[in-house]
Amino acid sequence: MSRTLTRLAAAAALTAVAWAGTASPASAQEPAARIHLLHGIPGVAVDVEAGGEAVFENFEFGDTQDLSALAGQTLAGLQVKAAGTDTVAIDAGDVTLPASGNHTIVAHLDAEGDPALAVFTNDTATIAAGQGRLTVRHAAAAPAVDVLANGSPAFTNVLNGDEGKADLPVGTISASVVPTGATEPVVIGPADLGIEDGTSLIVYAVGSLEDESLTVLTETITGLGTAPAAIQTGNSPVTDDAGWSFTTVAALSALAGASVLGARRLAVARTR
Amino acid sequence: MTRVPRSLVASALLAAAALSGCGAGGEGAGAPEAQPTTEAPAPAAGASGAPDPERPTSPLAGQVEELGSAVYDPGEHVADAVAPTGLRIDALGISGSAVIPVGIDDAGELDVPGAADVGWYRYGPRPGEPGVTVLAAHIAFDGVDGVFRHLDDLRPGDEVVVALSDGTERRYRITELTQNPKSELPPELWARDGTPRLALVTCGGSFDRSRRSYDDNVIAWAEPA
Repeated sequence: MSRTLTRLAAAAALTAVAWAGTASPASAQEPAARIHLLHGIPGVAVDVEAGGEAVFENFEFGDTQDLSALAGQTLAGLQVKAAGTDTVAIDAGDVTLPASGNHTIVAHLDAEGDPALAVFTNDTATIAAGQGRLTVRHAAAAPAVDVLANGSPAFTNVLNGDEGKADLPVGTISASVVPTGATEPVVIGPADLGIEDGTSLIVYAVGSLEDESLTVLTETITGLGTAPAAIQTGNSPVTDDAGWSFTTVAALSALAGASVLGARRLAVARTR
Repeated sequence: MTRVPRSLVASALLAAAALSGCGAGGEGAGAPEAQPTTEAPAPAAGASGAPDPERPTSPLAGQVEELGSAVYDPGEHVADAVAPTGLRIDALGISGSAVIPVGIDDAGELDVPGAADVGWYRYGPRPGEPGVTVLAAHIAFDGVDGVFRHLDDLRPGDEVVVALSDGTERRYRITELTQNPKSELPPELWARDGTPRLALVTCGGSFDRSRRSYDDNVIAWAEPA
């Protein structure tokens, strides 16, 4: 137990450092941060309280909580309890969330199967038109892996806590995860992944190889795309055709009618 | 196997650590050994997500939004093959122009096809998907009138029919026409949420002979009929 607590303390300390590093110089009044909390350890549910009051309950594996609205705020007296019980699992004290940036915090297992904590900063750089971003994060109790895209290595030697990232043309790729340097056994997949224009797809490998609980979680960040700069739909003047349009035809008819009338009036005038 | 229970215990702590700026207290030490199973996530029989009536809700709860499960769903990654293939606008005498999927050219501009065809911006929403499906065609190209020669004759209520690659059609009604300088395309043209709308885009305004280009874009907006 003491080992776990030590690890947790270390993880929490790391988190604090990461957050301190991303805190903005207190300028924005509106929270500019995007902070998601992802539960990436199979088989456990918890309740989270602040000051003895429920913030969210029955937080289960795979679920996501959006903490963005709390960016920059301090949560006083934070406690976590096993779901549905009053058993305090941790007494966290007062916690201040980061004020800016785009982060995903993942509770997961490290390579040895021990709980660990990862704070990932998400790449929100603009993506070229016709491309999407694929990020694969190793958050599972498994050794170094390669990620194959359509059978070919896309990201190699990815260690627990690390990520592989690339901007790819839109479409669907078949992804699988294998031990690094090998093509089998496939430990995750093959799984189809949709690469969408201007969208960042983040895939988390989670669970445990030994416990045969390996699986993936996904997260998307949209709105990173590049729209066409302009639409050029004419390089010559239009012709003076009679038109295909009913309205044009009608207008021309009316014009023609007016001309005839005008000609008659003129003719009448001249005869006088 | 002592690993499993330890993981379980620690994971409960971890969620807290994720939120925490400080180290774990000693309180968690009592809970762990009680649940040596990987089977069920909820240790208490009555815990099905319903709040404990004796536990007050924090004001913070209203600011935390549950986003649902991040568990991989293969169905979300199935390629949608339905694409627009044809366009019919009776009011303009357009009886079945081909619609071609297009991207962008080297200049980063929409890769509009020749005078006789309509280009669909294939990186944007497909017909029926949330957001704006963009169809663009020339008003005139290399001295030949284009498919959208008379786009600005459209009026609210006019019907637009888009044929799809699966043999079905989608019907729209024109809602309004807008005109903008070429360099100021309305951002909503690239919307990817909201009502599944259609935008028919061509050129308009004055033709600048020196630049061989029109000053403006004309956009006819349509909503599902």
